[in-house]
Amino acid sequence: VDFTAQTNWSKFVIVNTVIISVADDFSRYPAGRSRTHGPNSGERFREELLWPNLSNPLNSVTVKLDGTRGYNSSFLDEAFAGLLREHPMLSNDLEQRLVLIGKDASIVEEIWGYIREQKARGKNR
Amino acid sequence: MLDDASQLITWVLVGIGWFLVNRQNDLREARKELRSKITELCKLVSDIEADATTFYARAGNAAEAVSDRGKITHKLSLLGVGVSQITPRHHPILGALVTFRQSITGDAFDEEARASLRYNNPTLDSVRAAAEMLVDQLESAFCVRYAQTAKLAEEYPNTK
Repeated sequence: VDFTAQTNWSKFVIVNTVIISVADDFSRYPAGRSRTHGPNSGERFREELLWPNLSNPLNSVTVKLDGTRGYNSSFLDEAFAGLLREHPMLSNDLEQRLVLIGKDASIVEEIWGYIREQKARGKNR
Repeated sequence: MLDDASQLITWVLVGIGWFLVNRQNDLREARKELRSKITELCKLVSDIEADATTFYARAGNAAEAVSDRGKITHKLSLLGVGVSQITPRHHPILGALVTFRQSITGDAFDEEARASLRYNNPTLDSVRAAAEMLVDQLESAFCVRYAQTAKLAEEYPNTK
């Protein structure tokens, strides 16, 4: 049996772990969905920090959520579920390559909820 | 010999008594702390609900909107951390908190041009409903943990 034929090796081979702190590397005031809503939008966070690191299949990304003044739902949806909308190739292994850390467990839960919803929508298309 | 044994038994009983009283005190304190934390969180929920209602119900200028958004988001963050401290992961309270945050900080929250919403607008209704659900969840989690069946039976005599 040729196991290698069906194995997605990116699930197992992670070479670099990139740590992104939203407060330190992006802004203490993340807000808004798209760039039209302001300079610290979810779209900018996704395109300038998340995607450049996740586009390399050997990278795993840890996002530290603490230290900001808070998050709104539209920011979270655009930044994280937006990854799957704009870059559908990530849907295979995003859950293995993305780690979310924060004191507020509801934020982590909300983000994974958006990712799962978007994944289900992508499959139903 | 008999005296020694009776002294030993006395001290053992004193030790057991001290342990039981101490344990009861700890439990009572833990219960009081949780009660006051939940009361504090419920008050925060009601503050945020009031702020969100004011935010959506009046069409303010852009500067006011930025400041109001900041205050609401910050209070939601404090609420999130407070709830997470007393709630295990994947507890339904976290789901209720997510719904509450979504009802306030969805896409309408970011709009630059805000029209003032009427009191019975669906957005405001969903904020109120989500706030009520969150407070219910917090209260029922406390009841589940500390419910005294006898007390509840006294309060609701017709329930079996």
